[in-house]
Amino acid sequence: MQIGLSGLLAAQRQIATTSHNISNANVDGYSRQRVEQGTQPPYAVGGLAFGQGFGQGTMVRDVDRVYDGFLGTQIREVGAEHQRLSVFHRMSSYVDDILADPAGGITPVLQDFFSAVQDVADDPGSSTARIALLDQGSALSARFQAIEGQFEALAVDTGKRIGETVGEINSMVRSLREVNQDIVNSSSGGGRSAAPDLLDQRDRLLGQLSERVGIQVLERDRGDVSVMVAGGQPLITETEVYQLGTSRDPADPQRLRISYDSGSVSIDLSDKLSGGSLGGLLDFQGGMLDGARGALGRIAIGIAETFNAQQAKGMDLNGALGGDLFSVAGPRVQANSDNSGSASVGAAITDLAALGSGDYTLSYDGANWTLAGAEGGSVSGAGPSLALGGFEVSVGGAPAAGDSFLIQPTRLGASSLEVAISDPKLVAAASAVRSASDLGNAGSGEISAGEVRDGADPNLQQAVELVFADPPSSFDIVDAGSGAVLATGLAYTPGADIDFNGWRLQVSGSPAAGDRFTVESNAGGSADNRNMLAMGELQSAGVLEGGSASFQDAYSATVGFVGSQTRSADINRQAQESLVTTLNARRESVSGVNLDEEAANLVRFQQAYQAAARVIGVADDLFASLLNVI
Amino acid sequence: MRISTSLIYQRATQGFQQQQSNLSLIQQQISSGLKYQRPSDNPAAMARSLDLQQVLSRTAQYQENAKVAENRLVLEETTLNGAAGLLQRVRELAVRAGNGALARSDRMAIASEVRERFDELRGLSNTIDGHGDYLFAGHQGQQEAVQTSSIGQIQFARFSGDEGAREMQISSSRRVQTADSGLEVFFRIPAGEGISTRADTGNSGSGEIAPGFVYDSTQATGDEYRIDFTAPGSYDVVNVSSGATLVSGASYTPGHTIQFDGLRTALQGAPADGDSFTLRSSRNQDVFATLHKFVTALESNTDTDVDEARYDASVAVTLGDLDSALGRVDEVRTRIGGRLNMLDTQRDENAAYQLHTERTLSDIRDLDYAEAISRLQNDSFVLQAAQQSFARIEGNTLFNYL
Repeated sequence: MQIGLSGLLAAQRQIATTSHNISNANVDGYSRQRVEQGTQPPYAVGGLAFGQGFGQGTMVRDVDRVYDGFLGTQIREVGAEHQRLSVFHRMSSYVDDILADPAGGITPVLQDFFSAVQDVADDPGSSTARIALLDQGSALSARFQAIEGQFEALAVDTGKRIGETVGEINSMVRSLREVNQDIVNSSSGGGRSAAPDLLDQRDRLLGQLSERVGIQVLERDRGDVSVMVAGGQPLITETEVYQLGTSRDPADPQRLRISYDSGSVSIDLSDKLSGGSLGGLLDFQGGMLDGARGALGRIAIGIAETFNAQQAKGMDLNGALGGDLFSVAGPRVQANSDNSGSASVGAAITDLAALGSGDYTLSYDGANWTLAGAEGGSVSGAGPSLALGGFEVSVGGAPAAGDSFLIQPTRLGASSLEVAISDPKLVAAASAVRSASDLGNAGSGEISAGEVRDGADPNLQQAVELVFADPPSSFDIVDAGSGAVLATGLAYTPGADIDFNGWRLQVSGSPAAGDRFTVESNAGGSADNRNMLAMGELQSAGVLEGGSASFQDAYSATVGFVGSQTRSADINRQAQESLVTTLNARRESVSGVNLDEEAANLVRFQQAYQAAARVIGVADDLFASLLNVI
Repeated sequence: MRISTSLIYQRATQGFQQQQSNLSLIQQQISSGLKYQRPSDNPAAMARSLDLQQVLSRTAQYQENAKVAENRLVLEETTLNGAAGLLQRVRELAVRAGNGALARSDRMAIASEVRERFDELRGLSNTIDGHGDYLFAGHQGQQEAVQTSSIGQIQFARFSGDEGAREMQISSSRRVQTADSGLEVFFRIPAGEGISTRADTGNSGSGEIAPGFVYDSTQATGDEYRIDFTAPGSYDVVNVSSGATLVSGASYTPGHTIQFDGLRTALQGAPADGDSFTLRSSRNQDVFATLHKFVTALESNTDTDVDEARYDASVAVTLGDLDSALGRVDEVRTRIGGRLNMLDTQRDENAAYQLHTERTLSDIRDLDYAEAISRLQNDSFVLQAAQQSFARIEGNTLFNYL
């Protein structure tokens, strides 16, 4: 009877476990459970040696989960990398999408702007064409601002996501501690392993945690775990729980950094955390987004600086030298909020061709300043100025050792680009000077139209005459108004450059003695389009990247950079995804519930139950027969 | 291998999602007609197609510029055709004037027609282009290119523009000149006996000198002369080349015509004491001066044999100068023809380049519809098959039989 009862109880337990499996078949991360059944120790009857006694029936030893620990660790690691790439890909897809729209990028507005330049060149006196030019300039700057605005919003969003992810990590760590305690309590019976459902819950939490940040897990004998991040900083130990936090980066207040609070000191983990969605967000924030913003800003600065320089060489419809066409902000300099000194630091762009799009750090060690680029390159010196990568930093004031500054030469370019003039007359379409040969000249000398080399020369528009001496192998330059000699005895070489007062021109042929050539202000030159033609040539001129890239080239390169970053993230993500799928399939193959299998088990255990019940029935019959005999 | 029930479902859904995302991509491609939807689909192709788009619209702008340039050149050509006809007519008149049998009244009739032509030519030289700029004024588009006035009996034209010549960009490396300065077309014309006059740079009075010309070739020397004001209202004429003083202490009144050694000029305003004016022979003479010289000769007396000889010489020189002016106009017209040819060639080149670029862009960017639609059919077939097979498997469970 006892034996039958043990079988009955065991079968009941089997059926219960099978039912548990069936009902949890769709629970994510559930590992199927199995009843470990064994025989009862045999009953020793006198005379028989131990082990030779009669069987005592069956017993349920334990309920176990079918689980492969190695697979679990692998899935966590692959999952962390997969999440990192997924998040990086998702975020960079936003940037990709911003640049994807063929009508929405810089290309069409840049082209429209240059078309407007050509239209002014075709009809320099037309105020309609000039107004269109200013309008297209505004459209260009508005597009830069709009794209930069989207990038800015993306940066803010990234910061928010980082904060949320850190919050999730913290709450998961707290849940994990509770599960840890439950596991320790449930396995306190000694020798018995912890409840399988608790272990599943623990693994599920670890899986979710590793999707957010790369972790290392240490499992102890009783089934509770310690978790570490960033190569050894404990998040949860046997007794303690540590939390992550976010704070403003002292070097760059626009950026969040991840701090780790170990009780007494707070450590910056931003550069050490890797993997998971947090790793992906940090990679995106530091790499892709900053790269795209810097590159866009550089194009904006390039356009503003080159157009302003060309504008300064020309003359507007009022007869004045051209003023700035665009306004744009210079490099952004931010003092580290931990600085203790009071140094003043300024920066200005000096060479567009050498200008990069990355960030720089300026630090002071007590004696010397060091300017170092995030993408390499550095220069040191005591000041007062340091030049690197196309810009110059000037330092002053009283720095303290250890002070540092973040310098972003091009960061503000795209957001600050504006058209600086509203009066269409102020577009300097004409060249500032004109040249003429005197009608009375006896020789065959001809003078070229001349070009302005230095719009800042104070005497640029002074009316001067080139008067050939007798013999005409040399010439003087005299003031056309007063007749004062400004330069005398200049040797004449046909076709050679003559540089004076900021202009350059050539005289060719054979001038006769006394022949005169005039160079003067181009006042009234409303139909002159020479400066506009020069502006039109800026479209294909190599301005950036060491003089090899036009604005369009630089923009295409930016689109290419964003595209290839997104693409490689996507390709790696797909590779990781198939790895995740394979590992999941393997895990499911070991731990997953197969309903057909459970159905067969159900029948099997039902039969065992029926058989055990029958044993009790037989025992009952035997007992009844015995009673009847009596 | 052991399969869990949920894995069957997971795999099925994964498969459906994969197929559906493929189909959605193909659908996007078909509806946009583009192979790539975003830079990451093919970074190199996207960057290249941006460059090509820019090339395309830039070339379209060059074509636009070429059209504007052509309009200006055609206008200039038409104007110069008019000028050539006009000069041809004056030349006919000069040939007729050279005929000794003409009566004075005939010469006066010719003179009055030439005066008409003078004004007509001024009108032509002040032609305004489609944008309201004076075509021959160089860069001084708002300035009448040629203004005429007279000092004393001398009627003359002054060029108020400059030597600027507007160019337009018609390809990335080529510009076309779309106008010629009136200075080149009408003023700086090689002439047998041109004279240039100028006020000295250091003059302090308001004296202004008219252009000079040779009215009597038989006396002309080619020397340089100076008119020096030695006292208010009195001047000397000095032959700078020989050092000889030709006129001494002549009295001056504004609008005064001065003649010496076959030269004629005129002064107006109030020259100060010590001011001086120079006359030099020049290689050039403007076409207006040629016409004025002709009129002066026609209207002069031819009573004596000396006068007759002077008249004949003047008409002969005028004929030469007119040929020279006609030659210049023809030269400029030839240049315009060359530019128009160049424009045509460049426009064809631009169009060919546009076509080529469009084709390249299309290769890079545009979808191959046949290929896309066959992919669409294939992928939807795969999805359908996956769905059907799932429906079959999904129904198989042991629980059906318990």
